[in-house]
Amino acid sequence: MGIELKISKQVKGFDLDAGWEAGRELVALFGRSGAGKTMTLKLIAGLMKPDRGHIRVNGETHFDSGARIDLKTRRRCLGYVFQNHALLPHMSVGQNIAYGLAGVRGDERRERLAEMLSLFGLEGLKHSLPRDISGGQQQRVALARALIGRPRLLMLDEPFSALDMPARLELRSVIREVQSRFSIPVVLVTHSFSELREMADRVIVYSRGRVAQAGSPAEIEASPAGPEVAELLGLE
Amino acid sequence: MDSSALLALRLSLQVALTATIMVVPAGIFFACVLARGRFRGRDLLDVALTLPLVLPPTVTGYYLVVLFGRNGPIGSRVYALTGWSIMFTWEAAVLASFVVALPLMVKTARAAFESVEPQFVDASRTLGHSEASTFLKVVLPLSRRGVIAGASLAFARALGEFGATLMLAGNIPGRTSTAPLAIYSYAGSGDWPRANGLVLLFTLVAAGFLYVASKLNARIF
Repeated sequence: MGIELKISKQVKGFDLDAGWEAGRELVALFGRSGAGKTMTLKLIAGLMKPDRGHIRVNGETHFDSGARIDLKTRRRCLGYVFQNHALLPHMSVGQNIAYGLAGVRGDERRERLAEMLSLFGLEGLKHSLPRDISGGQQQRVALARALIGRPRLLMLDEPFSALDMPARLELRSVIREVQSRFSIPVVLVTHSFSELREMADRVIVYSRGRVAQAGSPAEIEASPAGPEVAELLGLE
Repeated sequence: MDSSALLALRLSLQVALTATIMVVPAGIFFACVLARGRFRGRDLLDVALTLPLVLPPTVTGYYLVVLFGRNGPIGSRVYALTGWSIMFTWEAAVLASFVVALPLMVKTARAAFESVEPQFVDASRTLGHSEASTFLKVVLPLSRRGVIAGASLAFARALGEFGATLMLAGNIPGRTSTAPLAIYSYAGSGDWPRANGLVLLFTLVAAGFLYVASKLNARIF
C-alpha cells in the first residue's frame, strides 16, 4: 500500500526525471524552489501529464505511458492542499468542505461535513467566507476539504509557508493526527529542513529535477549524498 | 406621444430583450468553447464570432439576407418546411440584433472565464468534479460580473441596432419599425415633433437601463 512512481517531464527548458516510493508514512519532498517538487505533485494528481513513466497508488495504475493509461484527475481520488489553499471565494467554509463530496447527497453528506467540521475545530465557522478567516483556519478548511472524500493519498504543497509560528506548530500536530487517523500516505512539499525534521518519516531530496537522495531526516543529516545536498541542508 | 412612436419603442424593447435572452446562453457556450477548448479551427471560430463587431451592420445584414432570405441556403429550407420566411418579420429584427450583439457577450464572458484563477479549476478537479460541474459551480459563479456586463452590453447593442435590422426586417411601421428605425423615418419625412418625442423617450429608457445595470453590478460584490 502506498505510492510508487517513476516519471519524466520536460517543460520549457526544465527537465524532471524522478522516481520514488512511499508507504503509509509522511514523505517530504525537499529542495529549492524550482527543483520540481510542486510539479511532481501536479503530475501525481493528473493536473499535468508526464511524458513517460508510471504512477501507481495502492497498487492501482493511475498513469502508465507504456500501457497508455492516464486516469482523469477526478477519478484518482487524491487529496491535494494547494499552496494558497485555493478555497473557493464564493462559497462558505461549509460549502467549500462539502465541495469535496462530489456525488454524495442527503444525510450522508450532512454527517460527513459535520464530522469534518468537528475534527478540524471549524464548527463555528461553517457559514463564514474564506476571506473572513485567518490563514491557519484557511489551511484547516483546505485540509478538511481534501480529506472529506476519503482520498488514497494526501498531498500538501508548502503547507507552512503562509503561516506564523503558532499556526505552524498547530498544523504540524494536525497533520500528524490526520496521518494516524486516516492512515494514508502523506506527501508534503517544503523547502524548510527544520519543518520536516520534526515530522517526516522519509525525505526525498530534489535537486534540479532529479532525486538527489532519499532517506530518513536523520540519515540525510548524518550523511548527505554529496556537496549539493549538504549545501541545501546548510541553507537553514 | 402618439401610439406609433410608443409601438416602436415597445417593439425595440421586445426585440432587444428577446435577443439578449438568446445571446446569454449562446454567448456563454461560445465563450466557454473558446476559453477552454483546444481544437483545430478555434481561431477561425473566434474570427467568425468577432466579425459582426467589425463589419458595418449593413454588411452583416446583407450576409443574413443571403443566408436567411427565401432563396438562401437556410431560408429556403425553412420556407420549404414551414411555408414561413423570417424576412420582414419582428423575428428578423431579433435575429439581426442577436448576431450583432453576440460578439460583445462572447468577448466579455471569455475574458471573465479566462481570468478565473487556474488553481480554482485544478482544485475542483482534484475534488472529484467533472469539467462541466467545475464550469457550472466554479468558473461561472466566479465570472458572474463579466457575464452580467456582457449581457448588459449585448442588450444595449441590440436596443440600438439599426443597419442589419433594416436589411433583414425592413422598416414596416407597427411590425418591424423599431425605435431607431422609426426615428430615422420621422426625421426623414420632417416629422420633428414625433422624432423629438421618441428621441427623448429612447434616451430616458437607455439612461434608466444604464442606471439599473450599474446598481445591479454593484450589488453582486
